[in-house]
Amino acid sequence: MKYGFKIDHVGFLDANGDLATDGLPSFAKDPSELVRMYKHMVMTRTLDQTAINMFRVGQIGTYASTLGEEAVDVGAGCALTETEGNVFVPYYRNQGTLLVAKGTEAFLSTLLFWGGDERGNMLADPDSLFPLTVPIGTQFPIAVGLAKGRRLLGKEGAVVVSGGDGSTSKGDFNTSLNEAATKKLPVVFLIKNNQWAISMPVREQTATSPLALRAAGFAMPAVLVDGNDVIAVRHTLLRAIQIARSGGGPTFVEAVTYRLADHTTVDNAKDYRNQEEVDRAWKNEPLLRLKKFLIREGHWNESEESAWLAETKKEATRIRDAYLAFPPQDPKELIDFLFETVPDVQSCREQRALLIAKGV
Amino acid sequence: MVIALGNEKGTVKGSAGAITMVEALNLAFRHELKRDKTVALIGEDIGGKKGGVFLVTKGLAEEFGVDRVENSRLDEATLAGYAVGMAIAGVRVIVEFQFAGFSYAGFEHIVSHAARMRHRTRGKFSCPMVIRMPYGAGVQSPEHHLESPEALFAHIPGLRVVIPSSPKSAYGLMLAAIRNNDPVVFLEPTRMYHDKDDVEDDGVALALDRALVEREGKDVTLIAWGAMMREARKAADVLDGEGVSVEVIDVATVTPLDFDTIHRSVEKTGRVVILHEAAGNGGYGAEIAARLAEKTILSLLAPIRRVTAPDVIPPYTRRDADGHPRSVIPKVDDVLRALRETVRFGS
Repeated sequence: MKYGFKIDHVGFLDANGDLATDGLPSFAKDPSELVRMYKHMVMTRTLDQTAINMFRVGQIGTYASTLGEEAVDVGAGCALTETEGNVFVPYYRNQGTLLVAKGTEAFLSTLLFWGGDERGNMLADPDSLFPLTVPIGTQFPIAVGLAKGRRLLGKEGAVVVSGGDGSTSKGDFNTSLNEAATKKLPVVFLIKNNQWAISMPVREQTATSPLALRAAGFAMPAVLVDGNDVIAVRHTLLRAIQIARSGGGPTFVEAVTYRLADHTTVDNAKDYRNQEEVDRAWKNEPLLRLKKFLIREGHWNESEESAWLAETKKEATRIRDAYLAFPPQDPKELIDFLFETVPDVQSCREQRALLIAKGV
Repeated sequence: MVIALGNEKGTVKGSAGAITMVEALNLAFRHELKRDKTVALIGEDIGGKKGGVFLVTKGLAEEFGVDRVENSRLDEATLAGYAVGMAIAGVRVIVEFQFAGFSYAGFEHIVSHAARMRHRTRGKFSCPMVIRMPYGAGVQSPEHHLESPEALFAHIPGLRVVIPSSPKSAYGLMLAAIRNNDPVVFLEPTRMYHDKDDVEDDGVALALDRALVEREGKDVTLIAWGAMMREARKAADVLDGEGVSVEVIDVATVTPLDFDTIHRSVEKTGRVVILHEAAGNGGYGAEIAARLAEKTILSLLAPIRRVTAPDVIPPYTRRDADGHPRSVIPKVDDVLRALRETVRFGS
């Protein structure tokens, strides 16, 4: 066909933890790598649950859970950190990626961010990790601009930008795909399709199914990956990052998963979502299948499972306590971080003095 | 693009070698592109052989390459986002919106990201970018080509808003804006693009938080910015002939506002007229008037007076039988009337 477009489907482990295809990618032949990914996913889930509990007792504000989406996050984090100089531009639901990239301190940042403290972006670094932001889809043009700027300045590495299925409805997303494809920029677009944009299911958002088909219109290669299979996610992103780094241009990766949680802690998905659908999704969730596989292959057992669970709970408590003990911000920082230096004008002088005197 | 309003040839000052504001801005870009390898420009039609619809970037792509002087496609919303990403990457990016009236599409990135990246990362990120756009009356084109949105940008914490009023201040302020490590909205008064003055390419930047007392006076303070400085200068000349001494302040950096300079002047004269071509409702003149009311009310000898456009959408610019385009921006006579009434008040 003259205008044919091929979308690769990638998956290794099925929901039962059975190999759905012959052969594993090379990193997955190392049991310690599989165990490392599994441990990251369990850690992500425990920390996530801790945040939800902290919301319930008023210790943080609204929080967006990543329950059920750990494989996308962790697979992406492992792929990102495998080579030097890659930059991750997240959206607000990539806790597992941050955890892999920056360690469990990233969870302290997560708590601060959702707790209402700008220092929740203290791990942000222009050369590795962008801050969490709330506007939907604006991360795409920023990531594309970042790739343009980095190329102009001769910096190596790929830019991996992540968004949810909802963000693909924004103009920003589509124009960014166009720019990245036209300029062959080193960008990987990772769309975490968790089926729901708050209360709107993906089938109501677009006639384009799968979402990855959108890439055809921009002459960009696309891959559809089982987002509940951490091996598949890591493998797909490793390849996409490699292509970007070697000058091959951008890739659209759609990772299909399911938002087992409410949109945020102030949402109640039961109002609009069918329980049978959620029950089905629980059977397909990402931790269980890898655990089954690891146990069957003799790389993991129940006592290791209990020990690691206990370890993650201890870590969650340690970080929760660190968050609760985190000193308050200095009110004058509200003015001091507006500009590089505080402008020497009357309003800034007066308002700064007032903030110091009055607090916030 | 035909400059349609006011004196069509522009105000000419200086020697035979005087240059236009368009040329002065071009000179500033050239100076910085040569001096600093991280400076780059992006915008619609700014590259290639065209050099922008007003030719402000003429010749730059040929001299510095299409990677540093990049044509963007027709997409203002995303353009602003690219610029944010480029700035964070370490590029000193100068992004052009073809007209201020088209910048609204880019508002989200300017407000939600450029203005707050430093704040949201506690200083780890910054957006060293100049967001430049021709603004205000000055061309005979249908809607959206005549707008003065300075108050929209001035309202946003984290943005600087800068407006030159001569080729010389355009050069000095643009250098400062490029070298500054925060986002600067740089509004270029279309009507003044062909004004001429002597500009030395000395690389000297002006301050980004200082108003310019262009003319000292003792009877009344006249505050303006951008192309309205033309009317301000003319009105001050006329009143000078009538024995009234007008102190003319060019605000130049709308935010952060150098209110100290305005405050001192009004304490001295006790009378003040604020002039701008944007609509009066919520216009930046209202902010200046409010601060004056708070700080100087006991020194005032007359009510604070504003001269602005009415609260209407700028009219399309069909010319009348005498060749004058339709326009609601204040005219010299409006300024003179306000100044005279303010000076006479109470006597």
